[in-house]
Amino acid sequence: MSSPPSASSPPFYPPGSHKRRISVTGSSLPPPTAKKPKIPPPRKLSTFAQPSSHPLRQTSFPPDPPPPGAKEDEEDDDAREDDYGTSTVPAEGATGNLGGEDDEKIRLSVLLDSFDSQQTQRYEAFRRANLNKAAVKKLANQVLSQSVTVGVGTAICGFSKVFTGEIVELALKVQKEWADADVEGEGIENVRKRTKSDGSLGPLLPDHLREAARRYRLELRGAVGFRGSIGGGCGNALGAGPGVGGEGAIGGVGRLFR
Amino acid sequence: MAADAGIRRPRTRRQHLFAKELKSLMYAFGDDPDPLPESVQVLDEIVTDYIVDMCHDAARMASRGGRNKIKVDDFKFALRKDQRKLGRVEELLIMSKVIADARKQFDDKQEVSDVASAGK
Repeated sequence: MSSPPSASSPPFYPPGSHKRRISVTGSSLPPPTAKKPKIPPPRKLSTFAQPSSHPLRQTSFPPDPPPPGAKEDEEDDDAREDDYGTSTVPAEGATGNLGGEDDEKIRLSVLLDSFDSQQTQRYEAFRRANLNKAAVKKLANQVLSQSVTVGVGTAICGFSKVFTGEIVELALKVQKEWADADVEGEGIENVRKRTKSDGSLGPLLPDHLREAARRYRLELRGAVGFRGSIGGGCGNALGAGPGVGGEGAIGGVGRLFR
Repeated sequence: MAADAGIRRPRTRRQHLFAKELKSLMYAFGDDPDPLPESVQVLDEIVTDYIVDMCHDAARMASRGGRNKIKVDDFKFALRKDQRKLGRVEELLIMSKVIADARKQFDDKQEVSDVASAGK
């Protein structure tokens, strides 16, 4: 699921945020500036391309006044307070990736303007929704038997949201596959296809999600933990099924440092 | 067609940590505006297990460094193979620094203007 670094964009993520996630050599994305009195120069970040310049050389400059494209958002601003960052003027001490990407903001606002109402609602939900930070911290505290820092909690929230997105997208793909294949047991999919007016396949079933999780784990065996828990039945593929399945099975949530 | 065949670990209690948030997230990522409650529960389970496993990975990184305390760097290293998530974590860290810095500057400006008005 984690695609190798490539210039083509993955299905859903808005082009702006995608650029920051996948490292592209020599792309239009400038490396973060390092000339700041208060913030120590950022370490060489793995997702930002550092073409040939030294990481500490300033390669982007303070932003120009907000692009004209930002004005289009004003009517939307009345409707909802969050303009999705298209017309923010970065703070003085902002790092370069906020300052040098005005063209990205223009493109993002153009994209947002072309959305119909359903897409706008979905996008809004995408930007706002987040896992409950307190619950995440509590869970992490329980697992690690220590009280984790705020940064750790934020980080976990962040990448878990990405993970949720990947699972849901994969589950939608599975749903489509099952509907197309017209499998005996999945006759229910075709019923939904016929009855839904807007062509969607109805809400996701738990089985779609489980299948998605199974596929995700198969594909990313090396990168992700997933010891045991869901579908320990993939023991054949892992080659050490029972052992792997048992390792994670320490009651509800495992404790590490006793 | 549940993929739970094989080893099933004993589930002492069913957690519902993220029900509300997951409903919005599922809609945001393409599901029905009104997802099935069972699906939300299953996703809750999937995500919770994922977080637990990532925490285990990060703890392993920390113990390799002889440390007991978990740091963000442990998570970042655990995510090294996954560009997308790694980028997201770094983006969040940068943003929080920017916000903290802006806040600090704002506070400094407040102080200056307070002193100036007090001096009058």
